[in-house]
Amino acid sequence: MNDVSNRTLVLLTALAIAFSLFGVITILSRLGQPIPLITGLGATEIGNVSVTVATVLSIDATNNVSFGNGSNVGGVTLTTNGSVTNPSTFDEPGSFRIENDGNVDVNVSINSTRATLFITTGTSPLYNWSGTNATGDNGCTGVNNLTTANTVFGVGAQNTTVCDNLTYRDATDSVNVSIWVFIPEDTAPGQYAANVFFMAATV
Amino acid sequence: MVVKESEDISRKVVVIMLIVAILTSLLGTWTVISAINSITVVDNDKEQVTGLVGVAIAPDPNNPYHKQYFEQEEEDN
Repeated sequence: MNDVSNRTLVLLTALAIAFSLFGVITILSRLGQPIPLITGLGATEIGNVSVTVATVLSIDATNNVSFGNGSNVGGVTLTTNGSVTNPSTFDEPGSFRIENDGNVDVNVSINSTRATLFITTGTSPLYNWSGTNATGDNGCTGVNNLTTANTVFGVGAQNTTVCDNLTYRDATDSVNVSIWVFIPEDTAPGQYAANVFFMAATV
Repeated sequence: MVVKESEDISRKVVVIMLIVAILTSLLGTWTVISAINSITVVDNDKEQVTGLVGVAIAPDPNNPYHKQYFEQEEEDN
Protein backbone atom coordinates (compact mmCIF):
# COMPACT_ATOMS: atom_id res chain seq x y z
CA MET A 1 0.00 0.00 0.00
CA ASN A 2 1.35 3.35 -0.99
CA ASP A 3 1.88 6.08 1.58
CA VAL A 4 -0.67 8.89 1.57
CA SER A 5 0.79 11.86 -0.20
CA ASN A 6 1.27 15.24 1.44
CA ARG A 7 -1.24 16.69 -1.03
CA THR A 8 -3.92 14.29 0.28
CA LEU A 9 -3.01 15.14 3.86
CA VAL A 10 -3.38 18.85 3.16
CA LEU A 11 -6.75 18.27 1.53
CA LEU A 12 -7.97 16.22 4.49
CA THR A 13 -6.74 18.89 6.90
CA ALA A 14 -8.50 21.60 4.95
CA LEU A 15 -11.68 19.54 5.10
CA ALA A 16 -11.25 19.13 8.89
CA ILE A 17 -10.92 22.91 9.27
CA ALA A 18 -13.99 23.47 7.12
CA PHE A 19 -16.04 20.94 9.13
CA SER A 20 -14.87 22.53 12.38
CA LEU A 21 -15.91 26.02 11.26
CA PHE A 22 -19.20 24.71 9.91
CA GLY A 23 -19.91 23.01 13.24
CA VAL A 24 -19.20 26.15 15.25
CA ILE A 25 -21.36 28.34 12.99
CA THR A 26 -24.20 25.82 13.09
CA ILE A 27 -24.13 25.54 16.90
CA LEU A 28 -23.99 29.33 17.34
CA SER A 29 -26.92 29.75 14.95
CA ARG A 30 -28.98 27.18 16.85
CA LEU A 31 -28.17 28.93 20.14
CA GLY A 32 -29.23 32.26 18.67
CA GLN A 33 -25.84 33.75 19.40
CA PRO A 34 -24.05 36.20 17.08
CA ILE A 35 -21.38 34.65 14.93
CA PRO A 36 -18.09 36.41 15.69
CA LEU A 37 -16.92 37.10 12.16
CA ILE A 38 -14.11 39.56 11.55
CA THR A 39 -15.42 42.47 9.54
CA GLY A 40 -13.98 45.68 8.18
CA LEU A 41 -14.97 49.00 9.68
CA GLY A 42 -17.98 50.36 7.85
CA ALA A 43 -18.19 53.88 6.50
CA THR A 44 -20.99 54.67 8.93
CA GLU A 45 -20.77 53.92 12.58
CA ILE A 46 -23.98 52.89 14.23
CA GLY A 47 -24.41 53.17 17.97
CA ASN A 48 -26.70 50.79 19.76
CA VAL A 49 -28.66 51.77 22.83
CA SER A 50 -30.11 48.87 24.69
CA VAL A 51 -32.45 49.02 27.64
CA THR A 52 -33.09 45.96 29.70
CA VAL A 53 -36.24 45.89 31.78
CA ALA A 54 -35.83 43.31 34.50
CA THR A 55 -38.77 41.06 35.10
CA VAL A 56 -40.19 41.47 38.57
CA LEU A 57 -42.59 39.01 40.04
CA SER A 58 -44.54 40.46 42.91
CA ILE A 59 -47.99 39.94 44.33
CA ASP A 60 -49.66 41.46 47.32
CA ALA A 61 -52.48 40.17 49.46
CA THR A 62 -54.07 43.40 50.61
CA ASN A 63 -56.10 42.23 53.54
CA ASN A 64 -56.50 39.55 56.07
CA VAL A 65 -59.95 38.14 56.64
CA SER A 66 -61.32 38.57 60.13
CA PHE A 67 -64.93 37.64 60.74
CA GLY A 68 -64.88 39.10 64.24
CA ASN A 69 -66.99 37.24 66.74
CA GLY A 70 -70.54 36.02 67.07
CA SER A 71 -72.77 33.14 68.00
CA ASN A 72 -72.82 29.81 66.25
CA VAL A 73 -76.29 28.74 67.38
CA GLY A 74 -77.75 26.36 64.82
CA GLY A 75 -74.41 26.33 62.93
CA VAL A 76 -73.42 29.36 60.86
CA THR A 77 -71.99 29.93 57.41
CA LEU A 78 -69.65 32.90 57.08
CA THR A 79 -68.41 34.30 53.82
CA THR A 80 -66.51 37.24 52.40
CA ASN A 81 -68.40 36.91 49.15
CA GLY A 82 -70.95 39.61 49.94
CA SER A 83 -73.74 37.58 48.35
CA VAL A 84 -75.22 36.89 51.78
CA THR A 85 -75.01 38.72 55.08
CA ASN A 86 -73.11 37.01 57.84
CA PRO A 87 -75.35 36.05 60.79
CA SER A 88 -75.26 37.08 64.42
CA THR A 89 -72.69 39.78 65.19
CA PHE A 90 -70.04 38.54 62.77
CA ASP A 91 -68.26 41.14 60.64
CA GLU A 92 -68.44 41.46 56.84
CA PRO A 93 -64.76 41.35 55.87
CA GLY A 94 -63.85 41.81 52.25
CA SER A 95 -62.34 38.99 50.23
CA PHE A 96 -58.63 38.56 49.77
CA ARG A 97 -57.49 40.76 46.91
CA ILE A 98 -54.40 39.52 45.12
CA GLU A 99 -52.71 42.22 43.10
CA ASN A 100 -49.98 41.56 40.57
CA ASP A 101 -47.68 44.53 41.18
CA GLY A 102 -44.76 43.10 39.22
CA ASN A 103 -44.22 43.43 35.49
CA VAL A 104 -44.86 39.89 34.32
CA ASP A 105 -48.03 37.86 34.07
CA VAL A 106 -48.28 35.25 36.79
CA ASN A 107 -50.08 32.09 37.67
CA VAL A 108 -51.65 32.35 41.12
CA SER A 109 -52.41 29.36 43.27
CA ILE A 110 -53.69 28.96 46.82
CA ASN A 111 -53.15 26.65 49.71
CA SER A 112 -54.38 26.42 53.28
CA THR A 113 -55.12 23.85 55.91
CA ARG A 114 -58.15 21.57 55.92
CA ALA A 115 -61.29 22.64 57.81
CA THR A 116 -60.79 20.39 60.84
CA LEU A 117 -57.36 21.92 61.46
CA PHE A 118 -58.85 25.43 61.29
CA ILE A 119 -62.10 24.99 63.20
CA THR A 120 -60.68 22.44 65.57
CA THR A 121 -63.84 21.63 67.50
CA GLY A 122 -67.34 20.68 66.39
CA THR A 123 -68.71 18.22 63.90
CA SER A 124 -67.92 18.60 60.19
CA PRO A 125 -66.83 22.23 59.79
CA LEU A 126 -66.29 23.50 56.26
CA TYR A 127 -63.57 25.77 54.93
CA ASN A 128 -63.71 26.66 51.23
CA TRP A 129 -62.56 29.31 48.80
CA SER A 130 -63.63 30.57 45.39
CA GLY A 131 -62.10 32.97 42.88
CA THR A 132 -64.10 36.07 42.00
CA ASN A 133 -63.58 39.01 39.68
CA ALA A 134 -61.95 42.10 41.14
CA THR A 135 -64.46 44.64 39.90
CA GLY A 136 -62.82 47.58 38.15
CA ASP A 137 -59.36 46.06 38.34
CA ASN A 138 -59.89 42.51 37.17
CA GLY A 139 -56.79 40.88 35.74
CA CYS A 140 -58.14 37.39 35.24
CA THR A 141 -60.45 37.71 32.29
CA GLY A 142 -61.08 36.20 28.86
CA VAL A 143 -59.17 33.03 28.23
CA ASN A 144 -57.55 33.18 31.66
CA ASN A 145 -58.89 30.40 33.77
CA LEU A 146 -60.38 31.75 36.99
CA THR A 147 -61.45 29.05 39.42
CA THR A 148 -64.90 30.21 40.50
CA ALA A 149 -66.09 26.90 41.91
CA ASN A 150 -66.42 26.64 45.66
CA THR A 151 -63.29 24.61 46.44
CA VAL A 152 -62.41 22.78 49.63
CA PHE A 153 -59.08 23.68 51.24
CA GLY A 154 -56.55 21.00 52.06
CA VAL A 155 -57.91 18.25 49.81
CA GLY A 156 -56.18 16.93 46.70
CA ALA A 157 -53.29 18.89 45.22
CA GLN A 158 -51.44 21.04 47.72
CA ASN A 159 -51.61 24.18 45.60
CA THR A 160 -54.76 24.82 43.62
CA THR A 161 -54.84 27.31 40.78
CA VAL A 162 -56.83 30.48 41.38
CA CYS A 163 -55.94 32.17 38.09
CA ASP A 164 -53.89 30.76 35.24
CA ASN A 165 -52.71 34.13 34.03
CA LEU A 166 -53.08 37.21 36.23
CA THR A 167 -51.95 40.15 34.12
CA TYR A 168 -49.78 42.94 35.51
CA ARG A 169 -51.06 46.14 33.87
CA ASP A 170 -52.32 48.58 36.48
CA ALA A 171 -55.95 48.72 35.41
CA THR A 172 -56.19 44.93 35.13
CA ASP A 173 -54.00 43.33 37.74
CA SER A 174 -56.15 41.92 40.53
CA VAL A 175 -58.26 38.95 41.45
CA ASN A 176 -60.36 38.29 44.54
CA VAL A 177 -60.49 35.14 46.58
CA SER A 178 -63.60 34.66 48.68
CA ILE A 179 -63.55 32.58 51.83
CA TRP A 180 -66.39 30.39 53.04
CA VAL A 181 -66.51 28.89 56.53
CA PHE A 182 -69.20 26.73 58.11
CA ILE A 183 -69.01 26.63 61.90
CA PRO A 184 -71.13 23.88 63.40
CA GLU A 185 -73.27 24.47 66.43
CA ASP A 186 -71.15 22.22 68.64
CA THR A 187 -67.99 24.22 68.03
CA ALA A 188 -66.65 25.42 71.35
CA PRO A 189 -66.27 29.15 72.07
CA GLY A 190 -62.81 30.47 71.31
CA GLN A 191 -60.56 31.92 68.65
CA TYR A 192 -59.81 30.08 65.42
CA ALA A 193 -57.32 31.08 62.76
CA ALA A 194 -55.68 29.64 59.66
CA ASN A 195 -52.97 30.85 57.32
CA VAL A 196 -53.72 31.13 53.63
CA PHE A 197 -50.78 30.93 51.24
CA PHE A 198 -50.89 32.54 47.81
CA MET A 199 -48.20 31.44 45.39
CA ALA A 200 -47.32 33.27 42.20
CA ALA A 201 -45.13 31.93 39.40
CA THR A 202 -44.22 33.56 36.11
CA VAL A 203 -46.31 32.23 33.27
CA MET B 1 3.13 29.02 -3.56
CA VAL B 2 2.70 27.34 -6.91
CA VAL B 3 2.59 23.61 -6.84
CA LYS B 4 2.90 21.69 -9.99
CA GLU B 5 0.47 18.84 -10.45
CA SER B 6 3.23 16.33 -10.58
CA GLU B 7 4.89 17.60 -7.38
CA ASP B 8 3.77 16.72 -3.91
CA ILE B 9 3.18 19.41 -1.27
CA SER B 10 6.06 19.84 1.11
CA ARG B 11 5.99 18.38 4.60
CA LYS B 12 6.29 21.91 5.99
CA VAL B 13 2.92 22.90 4.47
CA VAL B 14 1.31 19.77 5.89
CA VAL B 15 2.57 20.59 9.38
CA ILE B 16 1.34 24.18 9.09
CA MET B 17 -2.08 22.98 7.96
CA LEU B 18 -2.27 20.54 10.85
CA ILE B 19 -1.41 23.30 13.34
CA VAL B 20 -4.08 25.53 11.77
CA ALA B 21 -6.60 22.70 12.04
CA ILE B 22 -5.82 22.14 15.72
CA LEU B 23 -6.02 25.88 16.48
CA THR B 24 -9.31 26.18 14.57
CA SER B 25 -10.77 23.29 16.49
CA LEU B 26 -9.69 24.76 19.84
CA LEU B 27 -10.96 28.21 18.93
CA GLY B 28 -14.30 26.74 17.83
CA THR B 29 -14.67 24.80 21.05
CA TRP B 30 -13.87 27.89 23.11
CA THR B 31 -16.36 30.01 21.11
CA VAL B 32 -19.16 27.50 21.59
CA ILE B 33 -18.49 27.11 25.32
CA SER B 34 -18.45 30.92 25.72
CA ALA B 35 -21.74 31.19 23.84
CA ILE B 36 -23.38 28.55 26.01
CA ASN B 37 -22.16 30.25 29.19
CA SER B 38 -23.51 33.62 28.06
CA ILE B 39 -27.01 32.32 27.58
CA THR B 40 -29.17 33.54 30.45
CA VAL B 41 -31.40 30.87 31.70
CA VAL B 42 -34.79 32.35 32.51
CA ASP B 43 -35.88 30.85 35.74
CA ASN B 44 -39.52 30.75 36.67
CA ASP B 45 -39.60 33.07 39.65
CA LYS B 46 -41.93 32.28 42.44
CA GLU B 47 -43.30 34.31 45.27
CA GLN B 48 -45.49 33.47 48.21
CA VAL B 49 -47.58 35.78 50.35
CA THR B 50 -49.50 34.78 53.41
CA GLY B 51 -52.91 35.89 54.56
CA LEU B 52 -54.85 35.03 57.69
CA VAL B 53 -58.44 33.97 58.23
CA GLY B 54 -59.73 34.41 61.76
CA VAL B 55 -63.01 33.99 63.59
CA ALA B 56 -64.04 34.00 67.21
CA ILE B 57 -67.01 32.13 68.64
CA ALA B 58 -68.69 33.77 71.58
CA PRO B 59 -70.41 31.67 74.25
CA ASP B 60 -74.17 31.85 73.70
CA PRO B 61 -76.72 30.83 76.38
CA ASN B 62 -79.08 29.82 73.58
CA ASN B 63 -76.58 27.31 72.26
CA PRO B 64 -77.23 23.91 73.90
CA TYR B 65 -73.55 23.04 73.47
CA HIS B 66 -72.50 26.12 75.43
CA LYS B 67 -74.67 25.49 78.50
CA GLN B 68 -71.68 24.25 80.44
CA TYR B 69 -70.01 27.66 80.22
CA PHE B 70 -72.99 29.40 81.82
CA GLU B 71 -73.58 26.68 84.39
CA GLN B 72 -69.97 27.10 85.45
CA GLU B 73 -70.49 30.85 85.75
CA GLU B 74 -73.61 30.33 87.88
CA GLU B 75 -71.71 27.96 90.14
CA ASP B 76 -68.91 30.48 90.47
CA ASN B 77 -71.41 33.18 91.44
